[in-house]
Amino acid sequence: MTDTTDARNESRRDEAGTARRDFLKGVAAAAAVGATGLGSAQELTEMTTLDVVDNPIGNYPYRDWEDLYREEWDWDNKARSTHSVNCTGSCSWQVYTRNGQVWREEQAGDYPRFDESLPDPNPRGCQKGACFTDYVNADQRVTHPLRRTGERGEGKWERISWDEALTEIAEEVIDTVEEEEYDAISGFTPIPAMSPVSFAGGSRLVNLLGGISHSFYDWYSDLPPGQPITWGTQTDNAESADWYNADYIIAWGSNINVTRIPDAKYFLEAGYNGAKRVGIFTDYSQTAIHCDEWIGPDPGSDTALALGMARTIVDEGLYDEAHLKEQTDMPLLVREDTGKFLRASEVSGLSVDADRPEKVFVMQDADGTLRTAPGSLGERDGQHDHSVSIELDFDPDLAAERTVGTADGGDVETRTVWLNLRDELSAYTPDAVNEITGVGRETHQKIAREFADVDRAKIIHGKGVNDWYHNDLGNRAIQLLVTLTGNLGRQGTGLDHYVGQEKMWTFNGWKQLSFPTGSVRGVPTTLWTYYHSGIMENTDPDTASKIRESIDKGWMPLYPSERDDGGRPDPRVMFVWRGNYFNQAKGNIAVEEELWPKLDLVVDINFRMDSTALNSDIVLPTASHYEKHDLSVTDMHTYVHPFTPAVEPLGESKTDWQIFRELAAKIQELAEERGTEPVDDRKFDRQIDLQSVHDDYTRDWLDDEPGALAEDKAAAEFILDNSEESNPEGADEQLTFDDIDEQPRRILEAGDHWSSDIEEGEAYTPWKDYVQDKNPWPTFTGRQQYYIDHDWFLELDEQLPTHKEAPVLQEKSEYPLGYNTPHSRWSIHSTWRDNSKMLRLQRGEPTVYLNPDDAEERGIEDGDTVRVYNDLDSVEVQAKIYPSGEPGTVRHFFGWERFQYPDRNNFNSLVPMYMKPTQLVQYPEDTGEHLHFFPNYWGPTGVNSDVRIEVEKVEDGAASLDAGVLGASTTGAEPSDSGSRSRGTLGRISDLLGGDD
Amino acid sequence: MSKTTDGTLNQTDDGDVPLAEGVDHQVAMVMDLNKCIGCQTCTIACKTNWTESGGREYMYWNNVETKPGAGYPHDWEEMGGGWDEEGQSRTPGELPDEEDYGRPWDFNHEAIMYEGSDEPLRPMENADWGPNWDEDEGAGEYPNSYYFYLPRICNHCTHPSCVEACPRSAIYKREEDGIVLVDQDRCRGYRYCVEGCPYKKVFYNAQTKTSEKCIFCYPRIEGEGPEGEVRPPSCAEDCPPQLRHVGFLDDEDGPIHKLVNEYEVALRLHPEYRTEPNVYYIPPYAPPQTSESGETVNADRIPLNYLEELFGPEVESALNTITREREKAERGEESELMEILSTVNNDDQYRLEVFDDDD
Amino acid sequence: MTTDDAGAERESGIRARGLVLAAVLALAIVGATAAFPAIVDARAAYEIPVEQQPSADGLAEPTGDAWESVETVTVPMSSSGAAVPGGSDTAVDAVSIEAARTDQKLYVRLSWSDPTANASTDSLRAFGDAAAIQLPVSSEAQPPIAMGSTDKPVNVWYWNAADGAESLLAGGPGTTTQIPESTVETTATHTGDRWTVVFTRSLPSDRANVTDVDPTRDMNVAFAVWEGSNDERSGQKAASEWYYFSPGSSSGATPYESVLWAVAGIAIVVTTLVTIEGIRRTRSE
Repeated sequence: MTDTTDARNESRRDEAGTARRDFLKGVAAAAAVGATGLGSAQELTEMTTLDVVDNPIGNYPYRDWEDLYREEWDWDNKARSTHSVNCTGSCSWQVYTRNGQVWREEQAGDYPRFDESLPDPNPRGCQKGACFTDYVNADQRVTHPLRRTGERGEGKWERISWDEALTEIAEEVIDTVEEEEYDAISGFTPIPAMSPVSFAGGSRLVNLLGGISHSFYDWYSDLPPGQPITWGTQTDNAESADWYNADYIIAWGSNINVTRIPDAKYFLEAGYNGAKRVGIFTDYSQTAIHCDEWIGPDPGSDTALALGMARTIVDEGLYDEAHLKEQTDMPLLVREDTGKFLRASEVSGLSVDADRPEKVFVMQDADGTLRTAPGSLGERDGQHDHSVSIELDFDPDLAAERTVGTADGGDVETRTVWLNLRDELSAYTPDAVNEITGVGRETHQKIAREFADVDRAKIIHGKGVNDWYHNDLGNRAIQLLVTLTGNLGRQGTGLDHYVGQEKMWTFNGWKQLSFPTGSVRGVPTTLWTYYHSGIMENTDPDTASKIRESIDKGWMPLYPSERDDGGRPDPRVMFVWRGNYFNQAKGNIAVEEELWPKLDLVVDINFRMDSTALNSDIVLPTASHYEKHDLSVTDMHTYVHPFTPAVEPLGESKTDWQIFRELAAKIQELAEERGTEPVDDRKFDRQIDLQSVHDDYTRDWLDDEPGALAEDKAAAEFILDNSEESNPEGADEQLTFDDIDEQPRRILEAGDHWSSDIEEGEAYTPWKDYVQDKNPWPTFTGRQQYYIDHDWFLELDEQLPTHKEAPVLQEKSEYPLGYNTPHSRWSIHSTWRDNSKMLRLQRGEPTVYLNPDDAEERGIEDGDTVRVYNDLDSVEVQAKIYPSGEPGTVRHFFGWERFQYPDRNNFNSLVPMYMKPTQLVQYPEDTGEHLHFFPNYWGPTGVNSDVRIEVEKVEDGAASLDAGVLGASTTGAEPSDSGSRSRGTLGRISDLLGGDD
Repeated sequence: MSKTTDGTLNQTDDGDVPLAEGVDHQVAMVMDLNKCIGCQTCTIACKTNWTESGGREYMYWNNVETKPGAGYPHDWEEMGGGWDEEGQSRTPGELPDEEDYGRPWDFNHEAIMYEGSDEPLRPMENADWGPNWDEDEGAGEYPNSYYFYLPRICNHCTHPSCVEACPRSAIYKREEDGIVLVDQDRCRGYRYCVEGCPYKKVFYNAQTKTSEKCIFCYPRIEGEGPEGEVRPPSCAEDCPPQLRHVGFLDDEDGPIHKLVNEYEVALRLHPEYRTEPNVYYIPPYAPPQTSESGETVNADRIPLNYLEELFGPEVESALNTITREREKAERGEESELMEILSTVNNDDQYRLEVFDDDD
Repeated sequence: MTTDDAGAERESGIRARGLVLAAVLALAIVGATAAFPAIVDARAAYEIPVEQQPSADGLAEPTGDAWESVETVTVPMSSSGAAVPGGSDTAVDAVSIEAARTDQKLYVRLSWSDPTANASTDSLRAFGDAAAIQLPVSSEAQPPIAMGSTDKPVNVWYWNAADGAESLLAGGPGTTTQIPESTVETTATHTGDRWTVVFTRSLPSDRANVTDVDPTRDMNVAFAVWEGSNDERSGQKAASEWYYFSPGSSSGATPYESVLWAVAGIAIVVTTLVTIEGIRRTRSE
């Protein structure tokens, strides 16, 4: 790009004044001329002769005009890019430009095939990616730095220079660090996989400043807590191509056809490959319509359904006994008295070859002899230790039940986890399951039998079952089905949970780039948000005390940290980029009323004016996805491909990497002027030195090369160079940025944060390290662990998966309707919610899906404006009748921006702050190898599905504004006191292209 | 078999595929409704390619509608057009208005984001109907409601009533591929074609005062454009589940011929309109019904008579054939039909250059 | 422009005129022996006198004073019967025609009742009010009334309330072809419940396929009107039969001699026309 920068600036200068729409009207004008009949010059000179048509079928004489459309199929250049909007799609696109402007995009469609027996991976994409071009020159586009002149959220701005903006931010940052409140500086940005360079830009600066990095996977309740609990792993999924390898697929609360559009093909075509596809959804969903059987449990009852299916599999002996004995904790003995696992150290006369016998578990073999369980934590060097094997040289007794003589001379009664589990499952009789879930007595058993019967069965697990307070129990119950049937660690099997992206290929390079100091102040965002929004005063005493205990014991970190005087400062500075924190936050009202006022400075870095930008103090214009270099990966596939600039950043916008680099430069410059001294970090053994922060930002810390990372592309290359996936140790092959720009490439190897290797000609499937290579699972017991003997779990009687009713947030009598905020096909989170092209294919405003009976009862008709409310708030939206929703359930698809609601609240305003204490633990309690806080690995999930609401018709509701009102609001709005004139984006663009300065 | 006007049989006695007289080859498309997820990527791909501006804003040459449903334009199936029983004289049709299509709303982004308006983001004109207004609604009662998605483009019919409707003969079928086009120089905007098309796939452009329609992306299939590469229509090429086959109806070695004439699983939409469409559909199947007690019961979820209304009397045997072939695949047996419908081997998904050598 | 006509050829114009002319002849002879004043005002049916005006002042204006002295001919209109949907459903049943000329230009004023002015085609279902004047390309020719034929083409001067004036060449239904750089101009006004439109064109034309207007000779002419609010377009139009422009006397009092010349003139015309009619019938048999 650099070599053509000048030329592009020229063309930009010519074109930027014209939004793409207008630019294309030029084309249409040409079309109009063509259509007047005066198009051809000869007609004007030669004599007019009759144009006669004898037969328009196959013999039409006047076809020169056809060039009209041929001339519209034309472009100057193409560039490969993708979309970085917290989407797991990671689809490679070609961006077409005309006259220096982006014209349109089309899927690149050139992913190489690695397995000819699977469907073609091409093309990946969806309707949203197909119109991202709209954002490049959209009305929403932020084109120059803005400073708030009205209240936060008012939308009144003054345009300021980059230098003013960076100086104002830098001064506040320096003050904060000098006052040793660096841990009151927050950087929120989600999902590195979608654009790791942009992610790293802010994270790197925040890390250098000693600020805090926010988790996102747990905060958005994308993290399935059952996976760290049972499998000791945050999540590990097969790539979607592997669906096609399955004989039987259950889509369980995963609305693939809506939320995994680029991957849906593998699910759809599996049906042509002989697979049966069962959909388990609380509505006849957009995925259910293409399933072979649809099961519709009542909302929140999935756990009981899964345990009922498990009961059938166990009672009918359909389970994989060998798998259970070797790979799970089922043979482990549990003390009847304490409910704790029997530890080797407790057993008299049991020889233990381990450093920590108290963390070694016990089985009984077929001869009735007690044996230590290989791979127990006590004989491992930490959570991940592949020097130890779980392979058995004896045959453990699943059904052991015995008295054990203890070292202290006493006796304890013990039973295996398996027997405990059978007791638990015995409660889920067909009648009970039918009672709780509404699913047929026969049907759920039939599905269980079919699932157990096939060779390769898979569950695709989604957000629909993960947003409940008891999501950990639900996860564990559903996971149990693949474990019982041994459907793990092979192609076509497993439980694939595709919600958000917990980690990424090219992991190490990204980590080194984002956190150069290696000392990361990570925080569980659910805890951070709710704590600073006042949850301690707004939750039940038990939860409050558990939160307190977790913080005090250091199980969960909270920043700013408690000071020696016992005080704890408020958060002070917040940077938000690549995300819409303020809009997407649950407990939305508390966040607005409690947390937001505590922040002295909110800086949003954005290409569009989203709700967080609108509620910020300073908005910095960032490059769009078609204006920068970056990388893209996803756990939906095993390819890596780039962003490359199709055009230069519009107006004054800069890439995220450049914005934070220039901020670092400004901080360093002012720190030098102020002679700011280095500050000792109160937690880590390092100094925060603002006088070198820019040098440190651009320095390659691994090669200790100054200034090496000044440019975005260099940062992207750094990631590829330093990641096992793209540059495997000892291999002669390596993926460079230019390679992947040429064509997407499959990653070469999987680093050790993945549980299987990348195999030639095979779709990636997790868990092979454990199931096939017999390495210990990264759990306390070294096995898939369904029994958790943590004190809190025992206290709550959740040592095993069990069905519990949802907590009562609102009384059903008062709020009879269940409230669900599923993901929509029309947005990726909040992005595209405000896109005109997408809105025209909806209803132009937020809608709520109502069952026809529920609507009729309330005198509501399709298209009516209704008030959706509970004890927290009331939101005004349009009613849409949805016959496929169960009576008593309401769907308000999420992601709508606050400014799309008359009261400037949103779908999250009806969701309270609440979290489940079992997700605040460390396990084992003392050392925490199995469960310990790590951002996006383990932490409290921000759930929301337990909410109840009522709906009523708004008599005087304005479904859509009449032109008069809008006329007033568009033209009549009093110009903001800053004097920035009320003119369109084009006005602003032309300004910044030399119009006014 | 012999050619009939109701579109149910598509092969003459000697096995030739009947084309419109004077047309050498006929482009055709088969859409597999069991792979359509209603994502509208085709709709947007078409729009960004052709109908962004210049009076085309309201047009969706390709749209996807939820069935059962009013569709686009509103209640188009009630608007007449097409041919009578004999297929000789045309039946009268209506001219839809802006509200039937839905207007291309503009929004007040500016006011809210940069001018301090406290209004919500809304269309700046009435928004009472749109091209996808009744998305996902369908029919029936929970738990046995039903719906599916129907993508629609111009059918480039063999017996096009729009061509017949034009008193100026400004609409024609191309000799080389049977694509139906409105001559933008000759058209005078009478809109008889809009009335005459029973699928309502010709659109009046009030800015150019001419009618326009899906052009089957002829510049793409001709290999026009800077790279000179032959590419299928964008609605097909950009479809994430790849549910469309594109080729020539008379290419007897191609998958379309197999689906239409051999397996007879690809059917015309509303064959009773008798325009003999060249877009064909694999009819949809759905999970069986659920009983009061939550049991899966062996009963069709989508009423057969509804599918017959859309795809004619052949739909039942088409569905039976698909079921039979799926069962073969389930037993691990070879099924050519299943292979054609999947993209594992998709070399023939788009066969557009088979006739390039002939004149 | 919306003057195509898919309608079946109609036996109009000449045949009707053939009979009528017999009457005219009789009338002329009787008239010549009768009281002169009667003859002075006499005007044949289907005749539209083209009055010579000393100056162009006001003629180009729909409401120009100059038109007050010009004789108005009321032309009955009926559906063209074209085979387009609604082809026989038309709204306008009469148009008032006035024609005048200077040495340079021909001016024709059409006026008809239309309560609704439909001057826009910006909405999908809107059609504009329109009017047209049809002339044979060759003044000797007798084209079929419906857009002429390939061997007897016509020119159509077309005005549409939405798009203004166009000059067209046509040789049968569906063949209208725009004549570029047309010198046809129109001015129009909608007052009360009437449209008034003036068509203006310079008399001579040396361009092929463009009617050369010779003001000294009769020339066939037909008229058509479209009511937009009735969705009229194309062949759905109210059309007249063939009329003819006749060289009218210059305005002012008619001297006695001219009356005799008029009688003689009529006789000549009659002879000519009967001859033409004879030839035409022979051809058509």
